[in-house]
Amino acid sequence: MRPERSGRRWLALVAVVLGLLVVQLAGFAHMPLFGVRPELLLVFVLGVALQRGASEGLVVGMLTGFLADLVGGYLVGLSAVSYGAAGWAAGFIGDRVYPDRGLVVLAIVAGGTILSQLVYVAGASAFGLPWPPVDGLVRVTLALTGYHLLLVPVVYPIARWAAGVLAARSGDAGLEA
Amino acid sequence: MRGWAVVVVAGLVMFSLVSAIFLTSRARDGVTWVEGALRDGLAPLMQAANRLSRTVTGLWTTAAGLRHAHEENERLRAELAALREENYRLQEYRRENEALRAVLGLTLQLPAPTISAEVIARPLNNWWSVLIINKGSRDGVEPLMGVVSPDGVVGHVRSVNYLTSEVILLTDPRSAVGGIVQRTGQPVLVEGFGYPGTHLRLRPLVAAADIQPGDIIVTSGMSQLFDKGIPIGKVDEVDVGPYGMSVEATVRPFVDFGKLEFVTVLGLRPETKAQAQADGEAPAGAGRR
Repeated sequence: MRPERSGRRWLALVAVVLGLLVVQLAGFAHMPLFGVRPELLLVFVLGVALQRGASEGLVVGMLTGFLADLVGGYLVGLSAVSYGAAGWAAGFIGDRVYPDRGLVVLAIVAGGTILSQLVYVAGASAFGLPWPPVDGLVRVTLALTGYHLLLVPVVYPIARWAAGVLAARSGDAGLEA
Repeated sequence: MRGWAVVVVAGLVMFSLVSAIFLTSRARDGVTWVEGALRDGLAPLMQAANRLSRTVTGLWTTAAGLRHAHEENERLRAELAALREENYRLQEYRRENEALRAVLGLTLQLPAPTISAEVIARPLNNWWSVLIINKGSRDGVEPLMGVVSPDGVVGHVRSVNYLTSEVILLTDPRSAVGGIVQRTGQPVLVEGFGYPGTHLRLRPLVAAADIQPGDIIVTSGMSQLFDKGIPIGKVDEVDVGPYGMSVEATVRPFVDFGKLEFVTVLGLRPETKAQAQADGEAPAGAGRR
């Protein structure tokens, strides 16, 4: 791939991530499902990880999580850890299964959502925040998982495109080497 | 990359992240310039996305609500008539109050300036109860200002950027406000409960407190953030501890935090501001943890 075209695709990738962040924070502000709002960036990370494997899932998860944390402004770095963990786990499984099978994608998104929420809540409680009541924890996690599954048809194609941009970068690196 | 290099890089990244989490887990006076620039830079996009989302959901709600429009219209007419009557009575009380204060030589407390704001974004995840509003330091918003809606107390301003501010809702575990039981006048502390985030925890500040389900809780006016008498919520359940030594209650807030679209930031009164500047510190009030 020519460098200027590659640069443009990287800019587009950054714009897409920021766009997903804006839609997550503001676009879904009035669209809760059972009182819960979705984390589009997490679905995106899980999709990319499924396509690109554990290492890239970890890195993409940490970077997008950290970006989101900067807007959140509290416990900055915790979303990076939870998204990174979910991305790594999704990539680890993605390396061992055929990632484009519909049921695999749904199962990974469901599992990744649950894992990231548990990591986040455990991390928050480690830094002094009260652990939520068990019924609240279960209700939020299940509702969020359901919401994410509904959003898979919209977000997963974007994640596949982003995985393609990352793959192109790997290809360039290979040619240069 | 060699194995040891991977371990060193991973260790450095983890150390940096844990340090960042630790440093931002405590109360901060403000946010870093990176955070501020990111929030302010995304503010116009968030406002546009928020308005689009509100329009779409508004159309749906309007279509669904048309079926009951006639009944609702009748109910609102009756409510308006009752409120108009109450308003006349309150105006009479106000006139009487001003006259009595003049006779007693008491100075009138000037109303605090207010700033109307639009909610443009919700929290990053479902574990925090915060809002981002479209007013910042440019519009005169300052940290620790109280935030209300027509239904009652919403929360307080946590951090302020040039174009936007972050508001911590009353339901957030980091939030607390002083109140009184309207029926008895007993002082209480109302705290955020964390998720499910629809209720508040009430702790009485006097021994043998008389609190019953259905009691209305309003602000005490002891803090500099809220005037006395702003509605907070209604007591839902009262839990009396062993031997009646402790009482704790659950309060259902009057504000529906999930549907907030516009809020009012309560500015500091000129005398409070002057006092705070003289003391060289921020006004005390809502709890910060």
